[in-house]
Amino acid sequence: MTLLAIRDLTVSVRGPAGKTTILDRVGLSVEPGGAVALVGESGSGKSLTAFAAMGLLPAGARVESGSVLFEDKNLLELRERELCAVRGARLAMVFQEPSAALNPVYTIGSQISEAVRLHQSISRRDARALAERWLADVGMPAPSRAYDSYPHELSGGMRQRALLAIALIAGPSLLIADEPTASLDRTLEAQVLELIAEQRRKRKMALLLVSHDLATVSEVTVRVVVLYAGEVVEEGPTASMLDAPAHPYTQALVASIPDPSKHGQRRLGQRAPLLPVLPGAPPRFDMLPPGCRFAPRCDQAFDRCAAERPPLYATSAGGSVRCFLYDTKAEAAS
Amino acid sequence: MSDDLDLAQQKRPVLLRVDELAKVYTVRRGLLGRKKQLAHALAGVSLDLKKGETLGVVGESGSGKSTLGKAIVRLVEPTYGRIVFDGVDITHLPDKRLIPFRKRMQIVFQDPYSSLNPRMIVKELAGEGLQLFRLAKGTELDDRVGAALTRVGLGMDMLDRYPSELSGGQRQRVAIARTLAVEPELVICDEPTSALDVSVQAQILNLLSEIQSDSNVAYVFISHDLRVVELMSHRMAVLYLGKIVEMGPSHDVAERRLHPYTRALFDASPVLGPGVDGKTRLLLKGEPPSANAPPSGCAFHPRCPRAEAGKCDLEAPPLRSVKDNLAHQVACFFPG
Repeated sequence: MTLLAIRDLTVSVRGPAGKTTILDRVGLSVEPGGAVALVGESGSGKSLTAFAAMGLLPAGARVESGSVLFEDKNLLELRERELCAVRGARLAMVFQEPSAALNPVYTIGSQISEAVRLHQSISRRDARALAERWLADVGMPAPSRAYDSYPHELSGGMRQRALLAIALIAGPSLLIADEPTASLDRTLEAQVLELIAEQRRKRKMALLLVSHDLATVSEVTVRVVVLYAGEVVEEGPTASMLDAPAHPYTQALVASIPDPSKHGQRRLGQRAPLLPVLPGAPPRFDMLPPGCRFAPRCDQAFDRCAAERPPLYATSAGGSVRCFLYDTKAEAAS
Repeated sequence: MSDDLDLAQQKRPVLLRVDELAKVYTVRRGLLGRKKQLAHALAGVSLDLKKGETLGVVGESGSGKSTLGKAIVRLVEPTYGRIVFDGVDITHLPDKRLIPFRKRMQIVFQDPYSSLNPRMIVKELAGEGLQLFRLAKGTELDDRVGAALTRVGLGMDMLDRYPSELSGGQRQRVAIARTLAVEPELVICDEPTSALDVSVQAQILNLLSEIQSDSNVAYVFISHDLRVVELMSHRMAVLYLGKIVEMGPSHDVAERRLHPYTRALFDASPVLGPGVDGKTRLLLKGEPPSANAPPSGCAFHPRCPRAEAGKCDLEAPPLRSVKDNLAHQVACFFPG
């Protein structure tokens, strides 16, 4: 059974110029205990997909079609009260900016206890004991003191740990993490990702990690979904995505990650090695190209790409890719 | 490296020399702010930079890397120490006499969303330096602004746009064009690509490299991203709590990682491909201690796996050259 299945999700926003489709038939699935990364650059629609999956679409955004099946319930059809029973308990989320996700006027402890007491009947004292255990579990130094602290008294790394404790304490079967380490240092990022991976193994929890950084997600996820201009352009096992990316966009993304190990010591007067560059910028959602959305920036594009929208084709690595280069039937015909 | 090359490198003129530079802030605490505490954002940093050279500076937040960049161009007044630019001690130059040096030393900030005045159009932003230093006016000003914008890959259709109409990458290009227009000899790049997507980052890094090979400008390249710093720099300095703990040729520092903190930084940097099983990584425990209560002895000892009681917690290790490579320095009693 698939734990989370997003199918053909289409989301539009209403602006001054009318309705614009932002997500176009996005699909992805997470197996129980699985770890999937949702990768894309700013404006690709990755966060919107995650928010839609939680039933937390921003004002002005509307689901046009599609479904979000979580544990066999379509979250898009649930009423707010039914959704609340799922959200937090079975499905938890950590956000990018821990200082914005925590309420500044309540102590960390009361915010963690709230998360427990909302979903199970438990006494105040037991809730505190449980919360402190969890704070210790997510690597919070001096959990008892942290329990009585206000968010501003903690550092960024500790706030993210507290948020993680809040998300995990109800024992969710899926954690959605939207760039959980974006505001942290590399050293803390490594700690927090390691922590998420450890908790996932320990509790057999599944993970959907939203990120703009392929290198970061490669360490903690098993499959990757790549989003470009509001649609899925490639999906597949993480290892093959980095070693042999199929879609020209993914290829460009992987190539643009600086890899100094390929170069030796630079001497004075010697210029720094140039990185392969993806020319241009993603299209605007109100001016999408008629064919493949990546075609205008693609160095492998041919006639068909400008005229027709490619469907998803299966790859040899066991994934799928939205690119005519992988249309085996067309190849056989010609 | 051949001996000839070694010699040629040594002969290059030194552009910038920084001696024991420190910045101490006074933090007031307690009721009515009567308790005073000293925070050492920079605790004595010495380095030099040759013309056309890039020195990378890495460290966690709070390591003092941004303070170092700002202190070099005197956006932050150093508490003690010396800054010598092209043979002139500029540490205490009054503002008026500093102006010619301001033209020669520029800075590019991390966040192009906040470093550009939202009420100015691209043309004004790019030409501000030229006007301020009275380097050009009239048609010459327009020509030089046009040339700088073309150089960074922005079209003439951008001239009348406001920053809010530009993407992050375009804004950073404007910020670079602005510094480039006055033809500086030193540019402090303070996390110039940290706010950008990877594909845009590649464009900006390439642009900075091209500019350097055209104009022989020197860079102090500050970033928390080790891969970027290693790629962009000739030499690299690792900063911890306001002090350099390791410095040397970038490749050498990256390969040998002599200081345990350098090793931890590199280990925290994600490797490409699933590396979950390779558990030889040195993950740092805890967070950097605060600069207003630095630990005794070696500042890194509370987080260090190699620390020895009675030595590292009592005595601060000096920054010393490594035996087999004079250009490579490390401040650790147990390097390796």
